Amino acid sequence: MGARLQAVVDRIRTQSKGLPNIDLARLNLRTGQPLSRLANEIPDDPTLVRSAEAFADEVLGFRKSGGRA
Amino acid sequence: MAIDEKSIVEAVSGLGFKGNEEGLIPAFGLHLTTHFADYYNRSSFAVARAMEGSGLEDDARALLVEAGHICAFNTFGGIMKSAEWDAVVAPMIKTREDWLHGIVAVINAFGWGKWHIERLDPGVELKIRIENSYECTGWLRDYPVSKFARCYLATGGVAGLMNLMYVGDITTRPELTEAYYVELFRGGDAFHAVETSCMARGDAHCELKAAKS
Amino acid sequence: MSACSDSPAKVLTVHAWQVIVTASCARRDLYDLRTNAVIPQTIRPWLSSLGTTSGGESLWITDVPNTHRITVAVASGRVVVLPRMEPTHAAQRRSAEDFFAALWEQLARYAG
Repeated sequence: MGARLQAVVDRIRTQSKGLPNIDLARLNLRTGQPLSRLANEIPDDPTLVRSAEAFADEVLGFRKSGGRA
Repeated sequence: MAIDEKSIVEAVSGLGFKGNEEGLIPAFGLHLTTHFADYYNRSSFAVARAMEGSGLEDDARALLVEAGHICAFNTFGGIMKSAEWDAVVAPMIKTREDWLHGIVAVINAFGWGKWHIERLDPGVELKIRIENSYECTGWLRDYPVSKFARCYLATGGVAGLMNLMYVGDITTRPELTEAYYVELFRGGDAFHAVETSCMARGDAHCELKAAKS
Repeated sequence: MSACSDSPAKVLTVHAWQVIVTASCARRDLYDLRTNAVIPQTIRPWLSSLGTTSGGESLWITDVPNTHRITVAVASGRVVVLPRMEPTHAAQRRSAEDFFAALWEQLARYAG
């Protein structure tokens, strides 16, 4: 249960370019789920996993956000 | 203490800050804006309130305070590097701690509530009291007395002052780059602030304490 | 309020001056000159003629509409130009460069 989500959380926690807690708070708000605290209890719903992975890519610098240039 | 807050407030007030034809106030090396405090208040409080009961309230609070960190870094840092600072505040500075008294005077000149340094233990702790914080004034007008502290921006601001002074060194006029921000605010040595009293919670005034965690 | 970090500074050379240019994520750069000498009061009328002025003895501010704001810290000899955002970066730079060149002439005339 939640193995892929937990992997995303672990990736952000260990590879964050700054304060991991802030990036994880952003992940939680972006997905609407308290993933940083309960990832291993939340089912690996494909849409949620996709959203979490996309955010991780963005925050870890693999993809640009659509925000301000 | 060498800082004469009254003369700083008078000098800043005398500069006649108002929006230019682009709607901006270029001052202190920054672009400031004049708008209703409630524009910020209602945006941040809407986020905080929407998250309450969702299990994400602490995340929302962390991000609203983070906005205060970033604001402190760019705005307070920018002010302390500015030509206006050189002309108005720097001549009064005798000690390193005067930098903090000086920026608090500028904050008061801008009208972001009435800030007062209650206690400053250099490099260790800063305790700020705020009378009429605009965040709380807005909260109390629009919402019932809160269970939580609500001065998100000020909380980040107070931590930011200590990080600019004692984790980094704003007195050397460093470039305010993203890398420098990360160094100051995201290392294990960073200061964090807590709001120990808050008008929104029914206290007489707001009190914020920044220390290393 | 400024809400983003500045990029590392570059330099604009005007006569013997090295004006520090700090690029911003907002659409303007900031031009910062440190002459390291007191700015003489005699050039204030010229500065005032460029736009709307405010400030007192130690701090002069001249706002040049649609162009930039000039801030002078008299005692420290620091002169900062903060361009408007509407002009292109090239136009901002040209206006700043023209101003600093004119300031050089003024200081040479009155301080020399």
